[in-house]
Amino acid sequence: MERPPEELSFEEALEELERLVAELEQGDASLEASLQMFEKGVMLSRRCLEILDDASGRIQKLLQGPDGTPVLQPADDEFGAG
Amino acid sequence: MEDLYALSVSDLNCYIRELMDTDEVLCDVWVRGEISSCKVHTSGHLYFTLKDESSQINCVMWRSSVPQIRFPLEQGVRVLAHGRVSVYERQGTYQLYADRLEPEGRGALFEAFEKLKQRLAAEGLFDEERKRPLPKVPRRVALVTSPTGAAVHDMVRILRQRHPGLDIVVVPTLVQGDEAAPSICASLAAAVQVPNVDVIILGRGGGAVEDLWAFNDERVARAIYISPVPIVSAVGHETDYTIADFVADVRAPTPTAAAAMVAPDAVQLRLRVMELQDSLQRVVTGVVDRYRRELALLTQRPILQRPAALVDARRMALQALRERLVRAVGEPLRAKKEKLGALAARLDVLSPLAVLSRGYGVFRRADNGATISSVDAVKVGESGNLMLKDGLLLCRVDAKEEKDWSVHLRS
Repeated sequence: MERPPEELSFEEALEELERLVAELEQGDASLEASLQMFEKGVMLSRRCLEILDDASGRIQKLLQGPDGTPVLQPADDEFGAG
Repeated sequence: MEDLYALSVSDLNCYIRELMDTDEVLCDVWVRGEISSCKVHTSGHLYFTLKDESSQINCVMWRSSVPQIRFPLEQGVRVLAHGRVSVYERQGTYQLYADRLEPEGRGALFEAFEKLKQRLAAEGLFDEERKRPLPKVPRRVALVTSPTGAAVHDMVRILRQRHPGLDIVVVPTLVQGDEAAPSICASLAAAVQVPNVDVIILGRGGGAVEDLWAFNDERVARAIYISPVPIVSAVGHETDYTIADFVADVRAPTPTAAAAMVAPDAVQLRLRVMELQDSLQRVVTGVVDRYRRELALLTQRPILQRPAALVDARRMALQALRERLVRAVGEPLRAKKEKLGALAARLDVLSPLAVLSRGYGVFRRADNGATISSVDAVKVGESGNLMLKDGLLLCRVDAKEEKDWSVHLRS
């Protein structure tokens, strides 16, 4: 399951972060393992904040292409105004 | 009776059909009744029976007319059917060829709605345990709705306000009229194919109950049911409940409310992440402190305070061993040395040299070195060596004279 944090969805990153904190709170990890978990936790929380801070959302419209397959078309102007 | 007067079966049925087809009442009639059996053939044509307390009639509706039916066709629903009555010549039966079906009043419409709801509920389409939670932060939201209504703009505005990072895909859909139900089904199917769509809002703004009817269509209900992506239904106003609302994972009272539900509450989520970050910091600091204290305790142990002690003890043990070794080996050596000294002293006493130094001599035969201790041991004319303290005198015996010295010794 070891995927790099930047590939995780918000849910996945948050869930993993919660798990890490809970495991650390158990207090029976070795010092080295604890520090590794801490490092990972910091990356996960960064990932979470990065997703929340993202402002690059797009508005698109799903249309039927000429061959019948659906095509995504930018529609920021049509729906995003205002 | 002559053959001449007999009609063929076909002729008879044809005659009856022509009679009926030209009858003013039968070719344009409304019939009131209750649906008792109802089946859509694979061809798309609808076959059903209308009945009342004492009679029934078979009915057929051609495929082209079926889409305009605005209510669920359930057993027992009271309807008004319009069409013409004619003969199905092959079977010699007459039936109603319906081109319109309406519920008999609002009550019947409600009844039909209730009946469909009960059937779908029994089938498990509304089961709470299969409702999925909405993602906290969806990557992409699909809006299955009319691209022209106010609803779509409201939803986009709320979503953008709440989370500008959200990708939005509008899936233009007919939401009222005869083609609405198939259009909704097609849009839902297309929306789930779009990559990263984590949630779908199926919505339309308010309208008359009839306008919302597509959302009570069984096909729409099943399309929602099979969607692999969670669906929020948001149809009409707060007081409007449709079958779609019951099947959907979440029902929102209005499209605007749906958008608010779907968009992440960034403030709340940020707070939670910060909280976790703090816990992480605090817990790991605690862990490090604990290890540090343990380390401190260990370094205060005497052995680490004065590591020389470890060597000292060993050194002392070594010393003791060495002493034991020296004792073990030296003791017998000294004893032997002492014994040797004593022996040497005794030897000294016995040594003829000591006697010689006092003026005595030892006379020994020249031929064999034997000590001559008696005058009898030598003859006159023989020679011998007289050993003194510092050398030898070569002597020859000239004469012998026996004497008894013991008297002198005794006196």
